[in-house]
Amino acid sequence: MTQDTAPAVQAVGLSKAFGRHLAVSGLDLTVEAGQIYGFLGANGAGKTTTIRLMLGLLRPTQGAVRIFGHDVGRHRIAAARLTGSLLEARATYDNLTGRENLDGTRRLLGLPASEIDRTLEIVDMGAAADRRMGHYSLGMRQRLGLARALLGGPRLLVLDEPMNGLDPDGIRDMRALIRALPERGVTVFLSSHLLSEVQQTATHIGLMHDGRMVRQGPIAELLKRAAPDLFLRTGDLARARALLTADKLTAIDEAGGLVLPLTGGDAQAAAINRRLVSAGIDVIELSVRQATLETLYLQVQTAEAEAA
Amino acid sequence: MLTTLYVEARKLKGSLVAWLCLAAPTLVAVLLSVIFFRVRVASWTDNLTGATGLWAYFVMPMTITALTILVAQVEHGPRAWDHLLALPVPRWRLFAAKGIVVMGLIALMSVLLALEIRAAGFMVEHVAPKRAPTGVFSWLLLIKLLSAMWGAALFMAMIQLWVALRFRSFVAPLTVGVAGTFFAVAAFGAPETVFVPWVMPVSVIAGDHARHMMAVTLGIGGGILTLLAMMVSLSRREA
Repeated sequence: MTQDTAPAVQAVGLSKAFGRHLAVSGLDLTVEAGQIYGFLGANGAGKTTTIRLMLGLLRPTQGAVRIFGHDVGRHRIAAARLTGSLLEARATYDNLTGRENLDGTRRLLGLPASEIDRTLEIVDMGAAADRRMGHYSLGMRQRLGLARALLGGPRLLVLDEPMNGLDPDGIRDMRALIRALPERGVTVFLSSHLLSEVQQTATHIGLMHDGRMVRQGPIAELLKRAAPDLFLRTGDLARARALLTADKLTAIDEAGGLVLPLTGGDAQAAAINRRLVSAGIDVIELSVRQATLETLYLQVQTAEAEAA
Repeated sequence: MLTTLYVEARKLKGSLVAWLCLAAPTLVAVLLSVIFFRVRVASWTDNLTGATGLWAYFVMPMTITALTILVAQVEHGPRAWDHLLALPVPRWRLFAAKGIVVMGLIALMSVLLALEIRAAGFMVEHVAPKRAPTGVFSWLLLIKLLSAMWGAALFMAMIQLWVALRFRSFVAPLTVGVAGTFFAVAAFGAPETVFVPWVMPVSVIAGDHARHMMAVTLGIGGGILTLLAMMVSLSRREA
């Protein structure tokens, strides 16, 4: 497989143990070039460890991860040449200006000075580039971090929680920036807790649970295959929630109502309706709709917890 | 390598490192000025030995402790290691650059100290000529002493840098530095202490030529070996 046809990221049987704790267990993951891959999972699911393995910051206990065909363990520098990463927004030198921060990385990468202005333009940070980083807001830091990750035109961009700390405008801008990257030939590997953002941004997702990959594929396909959502609006939301919880059903608050995965089909919807009505709770609205990423995530987490 | 060195040195711009490099030698020069005015008049040779001795005995080890902590905290503070170590740059080169920058900064402080000692001499010669040191000021002696101290300090500096880079908290390198300096102050007289890195700089003025040579040789040799070991160890370590 040549570098051009190889997947952007391919992990095969990837495991990482810290002492007796297995943080990542036999992970198989494939991200094809041009995808925006949302990497999801609860805290401690193994997302950060996987990212650190991809960047060569950790060595796998078993298995391997390849970036465009380059085994990160054996050819870290060749893999790193194709990869840009934004891991920690505050990982900048506050005593230097934004431009000086970029210049340090630019020099280490052996790139021409024009690269700085090119990436600043992409993230729309040209005006603030000569201010000291210590005076930057978190949103500005995220943008500058993204500019730094884009230096040299990497083919793979690894973003860990890029929306963290951003205000709604900042999130919207960052989303637009990320969505435009595949047009520039950049594959995006995006780890985030903001499921609605991932749903709006990613083309594919991988869902980690307890160090394992439990769902992976095109986001539209996974959502179509998932159990639909049941949306409920009732006269007494708090009581309805308590009743559903007592029946071991997990519901998410949304738009003045409750949403829960409808794993039992129409019969379950009817049963829920009867249960609420017999408890004296007025059901104002009850509708079935396609699952969202949030409810898919909830379904998977619940199924995995039950299996465990 | 030159690019990496430049990048490492530039990271220190506007940081406390610049102030430390200025303040530490100035402290010695100020103390020397006080000695000129308060203590009996002595020869330039005695004053140069005394001032550089003060530098090597206490100020230099503590300054190196602080300097290496500051250099390491440039990366530890903002958690910049992941970004740095994920770059397509051989990791040994990044650590080598940090070691060479520290060596260079100690050399820079030594040069500053030499200039400030001379400036203190000029001041006393003009303000209170009767308190001025006797004899001739010898640049050669001063350069010999300070360069030997610089070489003898490299072993200690590289140990301090290794500890400072290895541990995110500054407590570990600070403890090592304070303990080493305390040991040097307490046990300097014992001949075996020439093998203790924190004693090596002050061993330069021991008056015993063999001990002087031993301190410089061990300091430079130990410093280079420690730098190499640090580069290998930290490069292989998981970030």
